[in-house]
Amino acid sequence: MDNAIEIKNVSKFFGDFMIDNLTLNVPSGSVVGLIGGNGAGKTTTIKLIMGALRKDRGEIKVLGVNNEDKEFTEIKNDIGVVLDEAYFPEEITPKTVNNIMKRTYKNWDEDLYFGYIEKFKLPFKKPFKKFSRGMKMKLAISVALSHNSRLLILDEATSGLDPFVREEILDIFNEFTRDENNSILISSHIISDLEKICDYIAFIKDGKLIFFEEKDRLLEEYALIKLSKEDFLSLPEYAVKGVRVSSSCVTALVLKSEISDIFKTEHTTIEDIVIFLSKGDEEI
Amino acid sequence: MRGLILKDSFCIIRQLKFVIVFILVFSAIPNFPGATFAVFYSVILSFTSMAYDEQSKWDSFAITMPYSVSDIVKSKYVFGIICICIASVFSIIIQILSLLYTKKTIGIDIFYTTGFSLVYALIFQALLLPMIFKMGVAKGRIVFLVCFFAVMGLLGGVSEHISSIVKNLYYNTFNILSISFIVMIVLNILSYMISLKAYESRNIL
Repeated sequence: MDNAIEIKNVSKFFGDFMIDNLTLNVPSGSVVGLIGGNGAGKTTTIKLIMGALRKDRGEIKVLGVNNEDKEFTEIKNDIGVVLDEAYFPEEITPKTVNNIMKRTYKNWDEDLYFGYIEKFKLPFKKPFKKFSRGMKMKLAISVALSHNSRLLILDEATSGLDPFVREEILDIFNEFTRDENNSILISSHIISDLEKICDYIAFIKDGKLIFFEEKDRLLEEYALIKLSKEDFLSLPEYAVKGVRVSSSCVTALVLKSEISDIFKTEHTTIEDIVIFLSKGDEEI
Repeated sequence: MRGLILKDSFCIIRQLKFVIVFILVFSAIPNFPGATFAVFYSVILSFTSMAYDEQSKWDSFAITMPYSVSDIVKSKYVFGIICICIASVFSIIIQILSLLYTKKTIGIDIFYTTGFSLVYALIFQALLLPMIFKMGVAKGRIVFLVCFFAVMGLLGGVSEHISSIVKNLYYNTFNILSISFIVMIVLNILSYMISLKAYESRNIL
């Protein structure tokens, strides 16, 4: 199997928003970061993958199985999902979650789950309604990691967590992908997190895929350049992908290969690339 | 599906204590069909579990687990059946204890009355669950309460006649109960199919 997830020409129409002819693959053994602003369609894409929303058009395969086939229910044993919030009923405790999950997942690993509960210092008998957001997300992550998944689908899984815990969880995700059969699709607002663990970046805007690229290639391909307004106008238009104007200079995101070596460029980050591409050009 | 039913059970534990008190209180009221009332009231337990699901957006999470949409819908029917059956057994025990306490004879009519309550509670559930799946818990609960008090008001009004009706129909009671049982099964199958369609047509998240 080449791809853990294959999304082919998928569209979903809402009244005022649509996922527009989306094609996106998550190669097996890789980590793909899904980036986009609020309302760009990240969560909708994840819901479409898991069959929680019905697509209007296109095809989605997860771990080689069409997500509309009956077999997909069985395949979900191999998928760990963390949604943007942890959706457990209020009265549920980590202890009862174990009882529920061991009757839900065929390959539920009780010891592994208890290990995560201990590692994350979650109170075993405290009801979910008394959990902080960080604790709720830790519980959801513990569940996703405790049934020997081959694919993790994470929607804003690290938001609401402090930097130390985020680091710890990113390490766990990194550990997960050491097995070359394991893959992750992760969406996050915290782009620096994605930059740390992703092999590929998919950028979505207004329900459309703007780019899907290897992270390292993006960092090689793009650069930042700071120029006076006059010098900026000498840059070839096709090389400029985004512009930010201040009173003293123009900062532009450029394609390194398309500009002359006489221009001094600066190293850029995924966050810069996404922000510049997202905002487009400002008036000069 | 066992995981879903277990989750529902954990959710309604608090409500269950309330229902038990309810059954005890109403069973103690003379000339009031408390046991019947209790069995009917147990229908609310599956609705309560659905209210918890809606509040916590559990369905969004459940669909990411190895459950199909039909598993999720079916689990609510099975959970409802379990609650109503447990309430019926509990109701019989309370009635027997009550008769023993008042030194009255324990007759077969207890079992018939509870049997009818069980069957009609399940018919009631079959009629109401598609509404909940279609309209959500908030609107569905209003419909439930209106129907519940209408039925109970009717039963309360004719409570004195119920036992005499049962006695008069004594020879036919078993047949009526059997027919009601078959109607209940057919209605529940139809109800499940409608609920499944209603749930599938909704965007779950």
